[in-house]
Amino acid sequence: MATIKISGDWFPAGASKRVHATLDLQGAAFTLHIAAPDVAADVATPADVATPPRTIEGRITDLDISARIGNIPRVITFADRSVFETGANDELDRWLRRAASRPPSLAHALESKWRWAVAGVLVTALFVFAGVRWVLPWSADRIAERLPPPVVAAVSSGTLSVMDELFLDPSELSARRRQQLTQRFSTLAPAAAATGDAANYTLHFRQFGAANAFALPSGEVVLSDQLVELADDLAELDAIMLHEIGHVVHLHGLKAAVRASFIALAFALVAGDPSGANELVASLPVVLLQSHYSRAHESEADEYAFRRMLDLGIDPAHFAAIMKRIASADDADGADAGGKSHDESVLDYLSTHPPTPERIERAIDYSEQFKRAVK
Amino acid sequence: MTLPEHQDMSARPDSPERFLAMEFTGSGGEYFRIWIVNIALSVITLGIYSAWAKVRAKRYFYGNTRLDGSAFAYHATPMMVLKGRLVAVGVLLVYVVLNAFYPLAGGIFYGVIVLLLPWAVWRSVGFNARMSSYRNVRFAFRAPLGRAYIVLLALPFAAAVVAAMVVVAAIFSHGVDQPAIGQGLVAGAILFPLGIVALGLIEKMWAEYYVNHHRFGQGRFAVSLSFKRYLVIHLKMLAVGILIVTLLWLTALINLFTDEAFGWLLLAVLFVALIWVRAYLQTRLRNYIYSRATLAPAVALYSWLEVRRLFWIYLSNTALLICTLGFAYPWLRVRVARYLVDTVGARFRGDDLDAFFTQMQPSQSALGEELGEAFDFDVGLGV
Repeated sequence: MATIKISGDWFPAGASKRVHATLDLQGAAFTLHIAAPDVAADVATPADVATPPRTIEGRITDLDISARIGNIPRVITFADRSVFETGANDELDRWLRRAASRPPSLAHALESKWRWAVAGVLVTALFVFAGVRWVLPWSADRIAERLPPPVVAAVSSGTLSVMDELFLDPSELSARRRQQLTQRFSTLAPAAAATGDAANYTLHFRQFGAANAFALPSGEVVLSDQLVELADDLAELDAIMLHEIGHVVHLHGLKAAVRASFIALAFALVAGDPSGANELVASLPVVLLQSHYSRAHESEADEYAFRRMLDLGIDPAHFAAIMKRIASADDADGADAGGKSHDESVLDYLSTHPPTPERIERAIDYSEQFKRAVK
Repeated sequence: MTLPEHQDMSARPDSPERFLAMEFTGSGGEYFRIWIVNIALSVITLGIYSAWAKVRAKRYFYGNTRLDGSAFAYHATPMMVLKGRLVAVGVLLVYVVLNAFYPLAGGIFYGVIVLLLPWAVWRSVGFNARMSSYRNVRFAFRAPLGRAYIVLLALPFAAAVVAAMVVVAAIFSHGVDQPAIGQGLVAGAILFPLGIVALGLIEKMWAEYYVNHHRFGQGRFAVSLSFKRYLVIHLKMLAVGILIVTLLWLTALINLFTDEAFGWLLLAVLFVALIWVRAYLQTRLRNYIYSRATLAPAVALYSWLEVRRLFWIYLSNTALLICTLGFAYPWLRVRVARYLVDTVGARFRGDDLDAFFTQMQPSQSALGEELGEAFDFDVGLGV
């Protein structure tokens, strides 16, 4: 078997004294030949360095060889802690493969070919996309489902008061009307004992400029004065309240909040500055304000409302009716703002009810089911 | 290249002298492949590989930094880094949870973290030094912890208190009914120079602390810096700072009066000015600190950056980074490393580094050595 000769620098254990040396590699054995040191007479030399060994012999298993990265010098440490440094990466790798059947590390194998770099770009893009699109929402939802009730209560406890300060005005509805709706709400809300969830369902009235309603994870459902005034029939408000209860039952607010925190955290970690996450994930209630429900959540809440309406004997057509009226009211508002039915305002962002024809159609489907059942 | 005479060389005057420049031998293409494999494997392993990634990247840059034919080396193991990162993630999680559900406890926790920061930085600098070597000899950082608290916590806190007092005084001396712009100008006129003085003082003290407690084997690094010089360097920044503030005001005003194109132009100028400030400060401070630094007994260091070249590198790098959606990052990082390394040199008195440096017996009991730095402070000198 041919001898591989590698030249480099040898250093005594723990010293910077550099001596030229050659490493002969044959089979699994090695011999290091250290050149005669040319120590200048006037230089103070530590005693243990004064007479270095002329050769070091041994087997491949006696050596500690640093892993290859690019073309940086390799450091070979001998049993006596002295060190041989060499830039002959390829020869060393050849010896390692041949004598110890030790292939170069996987990392270096990947790093040394452009095709793996291209694969790296693709894999990264794929993983990031899949992570953001599926893994992250899925795991966030599972976490949201497992949050203990006191945590849920704590998360949304301050939220309504924060919103009161920022966007909401006190309701001007008559006490009688409010009492009437609160009473209906209590018959619609699932009993806490029955569901075993953390929500404590309560109804609130506020003014916030638009005919709208929203729900917080803790079970606080808020109706706007405008929405109440827009309704022709109490059953229409029943439909809205059931829809909001559906959001709470299916934990939509929590799921959205955990998702948003996940995205913020993942972004901070990827950007490489975990400490910067402080600001991003500082408080869940704030995230809660900013997160609106996804389309899937809307239809899930709709389904919940329709089923409950069938159970309670309320015609789901009422849902269609109030949705249509909200849509036309929004269009009338939007006409002033240059024809766009949705201008970018804070309240639009918070809007939990994008009026869509499909939702109205679903309501009418259920209404027909309801009418057949009544007949 | 002409070099100024170095002060305070304590070696024998008759020994031969030679000057060597450092050299960076890495390449952008090579680092790109390391970088993208690092990212891909980190993503696939949900971040666990990032510890290996960090070590590989660091070893690549150390191993390609050469002086007198030998390369620097980085020795931390991925497990050390991984353990440190787990601690960091744990701390972050505790903070996020506390802050979300018990804001008061979160605030206290945050305060404790702030109090621990100088310790963490001190530890991180020490860890990085011990994990670095050149020619088989490790670096070390043996510094009193108390001084880190003075420089990194007490002084910035004192500066903040003084600044707050100035603001309060400005408001009261002008009366609350005076126009806000007048108060703002007066407060700014006091605060800006004050900030410059504080910044200069803290930076100077940090640089001295950092350099003077570093060692290479038994050799000690030493530097002595003049506060006046720091002030002069920072004063130019003051001028640019005033320009920036003026531009900011103009931008705000113009955006108010809806000439958007001009507003954007001003923002661009502002951005370029900030890059220039960075290049200017880094150049002047790095050149100054290096050129005052020695490694006893017989090495003197130099740095000869040029503001114009560094500014151009940062400016064009920013543009390239944006144009390539970040994919040019490895080339740009190598480009910066090459310029920063290639402009450092050392003058040796005596034959060589050969016999001068031996490793001090490492005290293996160093606390928590297998626990790497938790928060990856890339502190250094900031230059």
